[in-house]
Amino acid sequence: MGGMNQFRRSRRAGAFAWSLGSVLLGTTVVVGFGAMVAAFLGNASPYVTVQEAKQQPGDNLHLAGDIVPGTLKMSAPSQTVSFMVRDEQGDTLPVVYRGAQPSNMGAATKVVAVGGHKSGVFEARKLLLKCPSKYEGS
Amino acid sequence: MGPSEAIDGMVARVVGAPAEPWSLLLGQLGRGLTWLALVGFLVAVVAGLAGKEKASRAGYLTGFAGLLGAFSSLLVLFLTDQFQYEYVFGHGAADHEMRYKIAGVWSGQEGSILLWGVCSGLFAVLALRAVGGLRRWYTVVTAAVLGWISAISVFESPFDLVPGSGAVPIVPPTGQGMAPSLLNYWVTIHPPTIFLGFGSLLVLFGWATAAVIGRDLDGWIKPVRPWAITSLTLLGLGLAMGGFWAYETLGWGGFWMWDPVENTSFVPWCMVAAMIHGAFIQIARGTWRLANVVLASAPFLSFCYGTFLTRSGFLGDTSVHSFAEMDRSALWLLITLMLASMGGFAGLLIARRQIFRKEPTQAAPEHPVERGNFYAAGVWLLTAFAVATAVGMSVPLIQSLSGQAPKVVEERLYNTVLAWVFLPLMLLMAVGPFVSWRGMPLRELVGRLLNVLAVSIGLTGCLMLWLVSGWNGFPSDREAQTTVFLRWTVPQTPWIVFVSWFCLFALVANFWRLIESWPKAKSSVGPFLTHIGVVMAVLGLVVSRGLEQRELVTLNSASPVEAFGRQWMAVGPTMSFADRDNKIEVMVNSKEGMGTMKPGLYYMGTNSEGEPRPMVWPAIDHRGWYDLYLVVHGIAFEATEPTELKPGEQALLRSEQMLVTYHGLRTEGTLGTASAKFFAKLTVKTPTETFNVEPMMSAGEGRAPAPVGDKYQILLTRIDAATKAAFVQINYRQPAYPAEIFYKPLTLPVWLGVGIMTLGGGLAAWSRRTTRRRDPGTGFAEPTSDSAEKDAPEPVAQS
Repeated sequence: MGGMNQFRRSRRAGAFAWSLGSVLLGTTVVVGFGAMVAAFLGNASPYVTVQEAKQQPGDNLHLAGDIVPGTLKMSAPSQTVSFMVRDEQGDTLPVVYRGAQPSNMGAATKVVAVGGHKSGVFEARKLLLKCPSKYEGS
Repeated sequence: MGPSEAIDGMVARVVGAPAEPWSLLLGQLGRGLTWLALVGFLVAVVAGLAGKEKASRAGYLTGFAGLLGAFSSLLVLFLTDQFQYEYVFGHGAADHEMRYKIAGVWSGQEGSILLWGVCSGLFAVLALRAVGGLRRWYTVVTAAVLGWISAISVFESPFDLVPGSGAVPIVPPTGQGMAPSLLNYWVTIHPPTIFLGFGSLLVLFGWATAAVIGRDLDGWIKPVRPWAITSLTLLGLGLAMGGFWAYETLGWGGFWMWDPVENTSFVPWCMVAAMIHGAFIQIARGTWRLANVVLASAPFLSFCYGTFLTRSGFLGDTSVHSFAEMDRSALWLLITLMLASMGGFAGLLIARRQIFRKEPTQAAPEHPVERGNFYAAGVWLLTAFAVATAVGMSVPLIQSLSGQAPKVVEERLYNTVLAWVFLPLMLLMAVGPFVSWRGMPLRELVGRLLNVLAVSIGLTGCLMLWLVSGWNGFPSDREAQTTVFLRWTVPQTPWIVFVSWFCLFALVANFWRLIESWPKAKSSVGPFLTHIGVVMAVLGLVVSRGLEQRELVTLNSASPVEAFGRQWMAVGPTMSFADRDNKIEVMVNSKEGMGTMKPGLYYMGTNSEGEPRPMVWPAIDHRGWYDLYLVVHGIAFEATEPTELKPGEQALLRSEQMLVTYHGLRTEGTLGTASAKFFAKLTVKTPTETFNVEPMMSAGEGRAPAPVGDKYQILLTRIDAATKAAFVQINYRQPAYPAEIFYKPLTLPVWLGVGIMTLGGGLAAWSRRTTRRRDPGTGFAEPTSDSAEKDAPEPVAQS
């Protein structure tokens, strides 16, 4: 008889542990998922306009726009690329990128400069280029 | 294809030859075969629902034959240069080598969808016998998906002629060819491998849903395992090939950068890995029946979602891959396929919810430290990894659906967020293999792990020593810092070494278990090898990306440049700059002796500014412990920009290495005539020498630069007559090559790891294959497996 009681008790304890485990696991999953989504959304790099680029801090701003024709300068000696970018509002801002020029730089018309604004110049640490030949649909 | 290309096409047609009749027939045949595939799979679905086994199978096989035939027709059109077809014209070229002509088939959207269909069909047909008693519903579900893919192919056909073709189209002499950056051997082997992986996901999805419809949740889990492991292996190999391709192509940031396209294959890979571990629990304990159905379907569903995301245009600027947007009706078909399979699957689970309730066949041991719990934790972590990656790639979609400004998730944010899951996952991979199914006290587990822990810490110490001392390589940058967990800034090298310890711990643990279990259980060789391979590759990825160093230099042939403890000197081009195979020979002088590297550089067309456009390929010197990675970006003559100097002024040029003093202008000849010559009187001081020089310019005789040492010359580019100001510029006497040199430590484990992982996966799949049951049944009889469920309503088809 005692053995039967013990069995019942252990089963009940097991059920309790199981439901406690489920609640803990469920909470962990929900909280973890929420935290992860928040981490991604909160720290993702925003796309900015020229006006916003001038105001927002950070070096992960994505400034998208057109390269103003005739302003593109590629200096092999100092390995810098500079140009004026014009956003959708029509505002312009000089962009400087230090590093080897992307190989299809000259063909690009639209650009996304990744970086931050420092004293009147947008210092890009990465350039993402859109070349017209690839963009058949638009 | 845009209007400009269509016009190009029409212009080209004028000079082409008329198309041969057989080629037009073949195109018609290809188009007809996609229709045949659609009809065949529809028949398979309808006949399967009606319970007509023979008709269903005939339709199924006809459908697959249609897809295979359409694919082969397209291949022949490419191999025989039938540029009268729009798709062949857009992606093929007469001067492409055979391998690129083959690759042309899948280098565009229409062809890759066909490839997806063929690969899915191939695996679906191969698994027809293995699914045994679930064949009926497996056939219905997979035929529905394959029919849908065929329909996309019908709407977005690669068999359209160039618009405006007459009754007898003219074959243009050549097509536009693939983008030059794609012309690499990987384009021939990577897409078929990864698409075979994608195709195999359909088997898992079809099998799992068939198990639910057919109410047999126990019988399928063992025979599905070798298929799941094959999926995992193919996807893993395909992913790795993509990574190698990215590594060997410039500007893709190494092996891996969390690009949405990479993620589209990585998420299913994680989910298949989770499913394989979930299957162990079900086989041992009889639990996790619902979980495994979900885990087996998730890879296919997440692949559909990823494909939708990358093809729909929602990602806009955030991918390095650029896609032509899909044909609207084809895109809607894809979205419907995704939503229907997700919705149908969820509806099916709800409709069949009662069958998932079942007592475990074997109770879990009292001890919480038992293998089943560790597998469960592994499944959760792998799922978390996949979900986190999927959320990261969905950020642009979430932002645009919630009407907010678009945002991008960059590589470093992925690394930071995923580290939370990655580190526990590595610990689990190290500890899990030591835990027994019966359960064991924690103390015993720790005791078994002590040796492994000691060895891994020792190896980590060696790694730290190697990185810091630069033994057989180059010391790591001690100043570099990195942000971890979105919060703390820490020194980079110790952080990377810390992360490496997790990998080394898992590596040593699995190696240890491999040796231990070798004599007893040969079937565990595969899993342990797979673990070892994955961890090795990840270790290589972490160290080579985390501690890579970069230097920007300008190579020339006059004097060597110093970088990474070596002298680098350009010799010159090996061919003409217009030749696609042109290389720049670079001499590399180190303690070990002299060597050469040959990065590719050629010019193709002109850019919008009218300058020739450089195309570059890196040269990679695999040195065992590290890679030297050299990219030459173009050819340059200017060492500085023109600088304006008024008489008496000075300027520091060439990174402050040259002090140029302008004393004034000297003229010869009659002013106002073409023979007038202007000399700028200059003193140029370098750290070692002083030169008094007079570069000349003249309207009639051009410019005469004055040499400044062996390497440079100074040029008078312009004078201002009013102020007597001179514009001077330093040029190289020989052409110079702006270049980027990377030092990437520990890349070898990436390559080795992928090989071991693939071998391990192959072994694991082989040793888990099940011998066919004596009477597999056709699945077309009434289900007899579970008498308790006989009273349940007749199975309904998935809509």
